[in-house]
Amino acid sequence: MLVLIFVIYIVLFQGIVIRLFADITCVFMLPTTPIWAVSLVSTFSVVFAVCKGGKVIGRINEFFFYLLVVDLLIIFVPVNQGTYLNLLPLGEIDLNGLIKGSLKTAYAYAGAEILFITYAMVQQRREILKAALIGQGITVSIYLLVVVVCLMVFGTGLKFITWPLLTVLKLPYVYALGRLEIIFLLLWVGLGLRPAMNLGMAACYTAVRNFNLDFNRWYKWVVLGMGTVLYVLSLQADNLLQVFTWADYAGYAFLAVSLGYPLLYLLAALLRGEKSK
Amino acid sequence: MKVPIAQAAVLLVLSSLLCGCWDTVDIEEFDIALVAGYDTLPTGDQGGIAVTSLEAAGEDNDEWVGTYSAKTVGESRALRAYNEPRQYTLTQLQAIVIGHDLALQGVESVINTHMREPRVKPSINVAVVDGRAEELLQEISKKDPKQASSGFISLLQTIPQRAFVPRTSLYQFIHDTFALGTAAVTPLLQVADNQLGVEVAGSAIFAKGRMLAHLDRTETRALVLLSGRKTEGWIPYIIYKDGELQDKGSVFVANQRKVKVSRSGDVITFDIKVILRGRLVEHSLIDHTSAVYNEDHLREIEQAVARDLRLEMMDLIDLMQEQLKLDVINITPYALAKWRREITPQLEQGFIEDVVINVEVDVIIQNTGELG
Repeated sequence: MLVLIFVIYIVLFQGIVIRLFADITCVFMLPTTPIWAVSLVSTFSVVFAVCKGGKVIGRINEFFFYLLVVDLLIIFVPVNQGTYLNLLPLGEIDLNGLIKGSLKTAYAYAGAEILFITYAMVQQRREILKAALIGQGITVSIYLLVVVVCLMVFGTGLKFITWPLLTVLKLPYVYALGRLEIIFLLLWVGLGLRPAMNLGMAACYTAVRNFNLDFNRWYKWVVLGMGTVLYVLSLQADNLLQVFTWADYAGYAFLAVSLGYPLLYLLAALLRGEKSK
Repeated sequence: MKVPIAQAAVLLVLSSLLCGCWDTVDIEEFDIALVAGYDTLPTGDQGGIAVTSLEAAGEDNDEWVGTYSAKTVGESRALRAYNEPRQYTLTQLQAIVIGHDLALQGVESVINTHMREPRVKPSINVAVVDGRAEELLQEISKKDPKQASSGFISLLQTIPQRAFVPRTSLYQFIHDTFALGTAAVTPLLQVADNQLGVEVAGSAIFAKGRMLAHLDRTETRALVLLSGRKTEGWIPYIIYKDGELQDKGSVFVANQRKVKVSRSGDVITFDIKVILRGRLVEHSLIDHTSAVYNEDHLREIEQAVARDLRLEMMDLIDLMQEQLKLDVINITPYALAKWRREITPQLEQGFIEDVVINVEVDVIIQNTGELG
């Protein structure tokens, strides 16, 4: 039952990821293309990658990791549009606001729970903790960098901007290229769907194993089924504000799942008198 | 090579869904706005807006100017759609000019529509016209119908490299005009005295989206130097000794600013140091016994420039504290960085008029060119 809830959570989460991806694509790149078309093509890409299995997903992640470095570099370009004064005084930070803000941004860190699934696939398990910490550390560092740059540039005006990272990249006047955000948007097509691929693989793998299905026979059918469900889910929101509300809930669900799920297992193991390995 | 039928079918379906197709518009079908002008209604009625756009030349025609008046910016585009056969696009918009009367009334609608539109770059320049934006755009269009926009766009973009005039991007304008206690500054344009185009007459001060005042060129120079905006330009000087003219000339300098803020009880003091580095452009000694390669004389030139500029800056600070009552030189963030929680509520009620501002100007002439 717990596993099924986990799968449902992942599929719902993926639906939100695909919808957000489609929304950003439509707003910044393809304004007259309907959401359903962008969502459909995105879902096809996710389904195709997930069908190919863990190895392909792993390689995709590895490839996009290096592209992220480009994103990291371009985020430094708008720094001179801002001032460090917007970050000060550090001593006056509102802790209540900080905690509320952290809860709202929990959504951005979702995906780490894929480790519950991939852990079983890893052969050299001694290295997994180190790799997970490095991975999470890189994610935190990138987000921190983006937040600091956006705060330096926008200050308190940050709250009025829907996509601060894209807006901040639009600010510098770039000779020859014209628009700096185009670099991010080029990578966005790959980066935006990556979480859905990772989670999709995790959900389908879990579903097949949980129902004791023959992997070679049923995996692709489960992926197709998941693709259909998440495509339908991605079309449910009426507008972007609704998607953001759902993303907030997904963030809370992530906290519940990523903290509650292992705790429940640990508790069950303790009750059964077994030591978890 | 064998391609499974299922994969080929999927590829065919995917190719039919290539979503770029929905957004395909031939470049010939675009009206590409390069400069947008915003004014009050020509009839003088309140509550409307006249939108003028200077548009890129097509294959067979020159750049051209069109104006549509409506209740809102969006409605002006709707009216345009009834007339124009092509699609209006703001992707290549490079500058926004705001007419004087609209600037006085408020420009929230102009700001809102441009910041909301993802295709508009926030780095485009904003300027105010001493008159109507429509007339100014018509004027520059008349001067050079083939390339009316390029000179104008370049003027706004590059002016800080040769004059002490701010370049104000759309984003900076919005940020400064709506930030508590501070003001936005834009170049103020007018039709040139020689009727051969456009010139910068000074600057316009905005707060909360509304123009509050104009500054002339000298005041604008003081403002730019005090606010630390990166500019370069020529500054003339005259040195008198014992009531007689001793030397006159000019220097070309780039500016830099350092701000220190301190507090004694309730009194906040800002110490602004303006540093100008550059070269001697010209000088004509009246008394030829003194040469410029005499370092003492170079110091005299530096001091003369610094003295004149400091007086201009003190005048501007008086204007700012007594009349404008707004921080136009962007020093409030330094105080906020130290006492944000305490100062923020004061910004609405008046902050800048109660602070002490000390100014020090340091001019460094780094070389005298090829002559001593």
